[in-house]
Amino acid sequence: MKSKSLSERNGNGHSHVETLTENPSYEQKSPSYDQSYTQQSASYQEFSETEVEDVEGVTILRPGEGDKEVSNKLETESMASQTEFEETGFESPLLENLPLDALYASYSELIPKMEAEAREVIIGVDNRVRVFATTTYPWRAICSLKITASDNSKWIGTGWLVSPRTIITAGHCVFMHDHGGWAKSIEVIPGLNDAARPYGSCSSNNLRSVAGWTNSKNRDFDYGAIILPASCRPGDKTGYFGFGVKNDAYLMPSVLNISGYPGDKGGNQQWFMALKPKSLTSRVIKYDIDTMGGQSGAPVWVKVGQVRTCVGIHTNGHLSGNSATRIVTPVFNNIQAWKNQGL
Amino acid sequence: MQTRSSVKGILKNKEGKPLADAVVMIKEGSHESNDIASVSNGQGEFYVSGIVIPGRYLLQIMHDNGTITKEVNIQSADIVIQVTF
Repeated sequence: MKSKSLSERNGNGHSHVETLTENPSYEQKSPSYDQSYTQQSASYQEFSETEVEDVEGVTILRPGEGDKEVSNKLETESMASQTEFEETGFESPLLENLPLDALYASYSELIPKMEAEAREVIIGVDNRVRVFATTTYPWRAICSLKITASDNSKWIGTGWLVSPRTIITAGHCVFMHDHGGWAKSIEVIPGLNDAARPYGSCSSNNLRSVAGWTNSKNRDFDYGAIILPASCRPGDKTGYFGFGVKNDAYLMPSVLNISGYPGDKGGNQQWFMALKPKSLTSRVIKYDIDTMGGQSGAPVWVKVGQVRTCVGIHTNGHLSGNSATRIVTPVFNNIQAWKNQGL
Repeated sequence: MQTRSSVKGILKNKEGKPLADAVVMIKEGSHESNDIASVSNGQGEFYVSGIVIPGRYLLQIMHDNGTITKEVNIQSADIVIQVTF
C-alpha cells in the first residue's frame, strides 16, 4: 500500500471534507501558476546551452509543445477556444435511492466513510473507505475502466465523466508506450459496484492524449480522454464533474477527494479517501491519500458546498507521496475541448 | 542507466498451471510507478508497466484464492517474473 501512517499525515483531513478556506477564490488564472511557468521558461533560456539527457524511447519536445493534443483517430474535431478556466459540473436529477441521496445532499463526502466504517474495520495505514452508494452523485460519475492494450494485455484503471460521453483518465490508461501505444479498446463502467453495473457499460477506441505523454512519456503530461460512441451517453444519467484551474494558495489548505477502483480490492469496488495536499509543483499535486494500482485516472476534486471541481487526475504511487497530474490552463483547455467532443 | 519499461511476469498455481484473471499491481517500490493494475491472461502472463529499472518492487497479486505479495529486484527489462500462487 502506497500510504503513510496516520501520524505522518498532514492536517486532520478525516474530520472535514469540505474545503476549509476562508475566502475560496475562483480566480480564472492563477498568479502563482503564471509565475512558476514564467520561471520555467526563463530557465530554459538561461541554460539554453545545456543538453538534455537522452532517455531511451523518448522524444524531447520543446517547451509549450507538451500539451499539443494527439488522437488515435484521423477525424478532426473542432477545438473550442477557451477564455474561462472553470467548468461547472452537472448533477443529474435521478430519483433512485432518494433517501440516501437526500442524506448525501445534506452532508459531505465523508458520509460514505462513516457508513463504511460501520461495516468494516480499517486499522493502521489503510484509510480508504468503500463507497457502496455508487448510484448517487458524484460516485456514479466515476467509472471503472477495463482496458485492452494493443498487444491484448489487460489492465484496470479509473476515469470520470465530464460530459455525456467524455471520460477523463490518465494518459497511461489510453496510451501505453510498452504495449503498442493506443489502447485497442476500453470498456467504461460508471458506478460499478461488484457485479452491479447500474448504468451499463460502453466500449470505445476513440482516445485522446497529448504529445507530452505519447511522444515524451513525461509524467507532467500524463492525462487523456475516452470519447464514447454517439449512441452511448451515460453522463446524461450520472451527471458529470466540473473541473478548474486552482492556484497554490487555494489548493494547499483544501481537502482533496479521490475515489476510484483499486486492484487490491478486485477492481470492481469503488473506494474513497480525502486529505489535504502534501506538496505542489506547477504540474503535479502530491498527497498521502492511499491509492493502489487500478486507481490511475481517478478524479482529484475539491468540494465547496455542492460544487465539485476536479483539480487533478490521479496517476502515480510512491511511498514519498502519491500524485496527480495537475489541471493547469493547457490541461483545462484540452479537457474542455474533449468535453465538447462528447456532448 | 535508468530506464522506464515494462516487465513481464507469469503466474502459476502450486500445480504449475497458469492462473488467469489475477490482478497484479505494485504495492511499494524504490521508484514512483503508474497506478494501473495488470490482469493476467489465460497463460498466466501479466505485466508491470512503466517502472524504473533497475529497481525493487513489492508486487501485490489478488486472485479468487486470496492475496499474496512478492518482492522483486528487477535489474533488466528482459527478465520474466515467476510467481507461484
